[in-house]
Amino acid sequence: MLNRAIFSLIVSLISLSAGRTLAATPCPMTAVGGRDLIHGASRQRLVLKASSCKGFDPKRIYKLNLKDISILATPAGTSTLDEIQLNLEFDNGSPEITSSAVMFDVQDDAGASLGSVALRVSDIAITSTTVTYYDSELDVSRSQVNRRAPAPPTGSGLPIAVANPLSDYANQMRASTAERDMMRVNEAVQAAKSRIINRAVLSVPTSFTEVPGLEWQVSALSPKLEFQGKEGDGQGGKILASPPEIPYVVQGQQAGRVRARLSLRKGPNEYLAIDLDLADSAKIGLGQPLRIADLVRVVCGGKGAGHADVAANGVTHAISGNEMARGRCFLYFDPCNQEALSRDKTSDQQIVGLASDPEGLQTIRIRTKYNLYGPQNIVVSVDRNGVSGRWEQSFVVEPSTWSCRKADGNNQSDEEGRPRPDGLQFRPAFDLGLKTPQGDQGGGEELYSIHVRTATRVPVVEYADDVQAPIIAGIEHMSPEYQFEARLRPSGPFGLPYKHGGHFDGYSARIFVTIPIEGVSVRFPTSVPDLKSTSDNTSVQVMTLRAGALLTFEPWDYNRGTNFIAIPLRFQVGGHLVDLGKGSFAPSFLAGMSANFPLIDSAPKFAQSSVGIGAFYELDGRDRSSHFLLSVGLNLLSLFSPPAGSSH
Amino acid sequence: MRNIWVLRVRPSLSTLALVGTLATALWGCEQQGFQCGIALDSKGESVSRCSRNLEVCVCETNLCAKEVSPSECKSGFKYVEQPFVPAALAETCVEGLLRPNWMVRSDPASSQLPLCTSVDLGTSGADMSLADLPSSDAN
Repeated sequence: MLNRAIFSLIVSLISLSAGRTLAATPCPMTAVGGRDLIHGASRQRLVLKASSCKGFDPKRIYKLNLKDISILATPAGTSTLDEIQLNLEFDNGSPEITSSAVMFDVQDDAGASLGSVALRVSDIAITSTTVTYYDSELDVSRSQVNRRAPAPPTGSGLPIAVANPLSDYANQMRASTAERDMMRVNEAVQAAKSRIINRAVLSVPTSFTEVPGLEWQVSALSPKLEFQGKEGDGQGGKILASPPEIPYVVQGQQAGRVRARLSLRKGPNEYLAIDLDLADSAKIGLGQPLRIADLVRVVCGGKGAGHADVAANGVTHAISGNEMARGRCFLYFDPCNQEALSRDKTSDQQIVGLASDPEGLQTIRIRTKYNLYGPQNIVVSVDRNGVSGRWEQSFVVEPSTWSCRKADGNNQSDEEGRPRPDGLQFRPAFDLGLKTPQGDQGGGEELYSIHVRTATRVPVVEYADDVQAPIIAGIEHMSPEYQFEARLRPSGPFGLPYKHGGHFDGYSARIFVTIPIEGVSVRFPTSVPDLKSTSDNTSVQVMTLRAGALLTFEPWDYNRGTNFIAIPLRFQVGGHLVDLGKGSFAPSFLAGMSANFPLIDSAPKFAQSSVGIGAFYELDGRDRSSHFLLSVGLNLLSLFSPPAGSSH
Repeated sequence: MRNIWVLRVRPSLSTLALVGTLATALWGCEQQGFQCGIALDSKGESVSRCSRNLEVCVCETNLCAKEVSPSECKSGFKYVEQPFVPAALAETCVEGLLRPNWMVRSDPASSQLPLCTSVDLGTSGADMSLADLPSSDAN
């Protein structure tokens, strides 16, 4: 019996000795599914494929060692001897490992080596960002792709997110509490419609994407951050895969980094957790050039002028007297009076009853709309035909700060003397006084050209939709909607007052002197002094080559510098003095009208001549007999005329 | 509403000059009506003609008249219609002439102008009294 007991003891000792020998024997291990060690991860599960690794004890704590780096690895409860699952814990993010492939030694807490495993060291990084937004002006959704990040050392290397334009303007308004509440509703409606969605596209090691069943989830680490992924509740949720893309919304500006926690899960198991900086900060405004083409006006007139001349984009408008040189012309940014703002019927219904503070209402509407664009560099230039040099000025506008203030003062100008066109409810959101080129002495009739260009002040993005000009140097290549061009046509010393505004804007008349050279004219009846024989026809007389002078009164569009009647009629008074064919003095008084067609469109103003077909009453100066005259001939020159469009 | 479409004519010196010239021309040099038998220019190279058939120039009135039967007009002549003759005389009988035969007939074949010369000059020159007129011219 004793011998049997001694044998058992010996066998036990041998067995124990053998067990320690087995534990000390390294297990062959290879990493599977997510075998990359991710830079910056806070947690990561490492799955090691082993082959009956009897030395593995799921109750022990292990470490992955590499020289002076040691990573805590806790076995997951689901580990087996053939599939060891280690939860790696990083206190301050994963260690900096410069090599892309390393061999870790896996040791237990007693220092015994379980084996070694080769791992790759990889990154999860943002490769590109996109912003999608609703363009209320065009009623379409647009996107800016490949938004660039400001690179170090001047930038963080991270993109700048675009914040949603939530405004606290309602709190500052004079409206009642109920009205302010209603405005917030309106604001929310607008904000929901114009929600700006940033998208961060990630580069993820393929080892994470190859494992079936893994699912990315994201949660917010920064305030005001919401996610748009499927099944998400706004604060977090699943995100799209292949490639992983994080759609997020930042509500309002954020000075600090926009951070999110990204995790890779399979059921209840978390395989990876990493905190990502999605953006350097979040700013309102897309860094997109403002479409100023329909937003800007040139308005001339002002205190004492009694009227306002308004030139929209692409328009040539007359100006009275010398308004430009007198500093009476202004560049208006006028979003508040834009009819397009009233297009959204849904939001209008939300704000019924807010009549007590239309300024606040309109301000909210334009801020919601123009917050999309961000601060803008504006370059304005003024040129004049025949004048060397130009006046140019750069300035900054911030559309998100624009306010709509009701226009005060009289009908034609505000209390500061700026002109106000008829029918406008609000003042311009921004105005700039225009000046003439240095060499311009004022006066004269030559056209002024006003050119306005815009460029975003956030040169960190590359624009979609063919907009490729984030800096001033490149804005010449921008499409027309980002530019404004208008011309002002002084009515000149011989111009008459004209209609301002309305359907007949610019309409009036011009008075000038022209020299008629009748090619052929027919007089009814024949003038007696011209009868040489009783055989002559007394009813009709055909004449040629008579000349004189006609004071001409012509319906005139001072904006276009042309007659505004489809058939360009002129009313003329004057007379013929000489018969060029006979070389005789043949005075007659004429009063009538003629239709005139210019000979040369580009002729200088004074030399503008036309072919005229006229019908006149004629009083023959020789015998004071009255006649009816039909004539076809030239009207040479336009003396003492205001400027004509064809001369420019 | 100050936006009134007002037209202000700005007279210029040139406009005034134009009006003045025309007024002077129109009211300063009124001419007589159709007058036959007298030179229309200083050189005597142009004259108004009574050129239709049976027409003569009555030199005393320098008006055209046409031959009619004595039963119609005692003088055998009747002034032609307007505008060659003033309204008061148009198509009336030629009467009350001091020199009823001082007339001239236009001869298209002649190079001489049908000018009325003084009766004191007799029948010389281009003057042709009715008695001198060839019958063919009178047709």
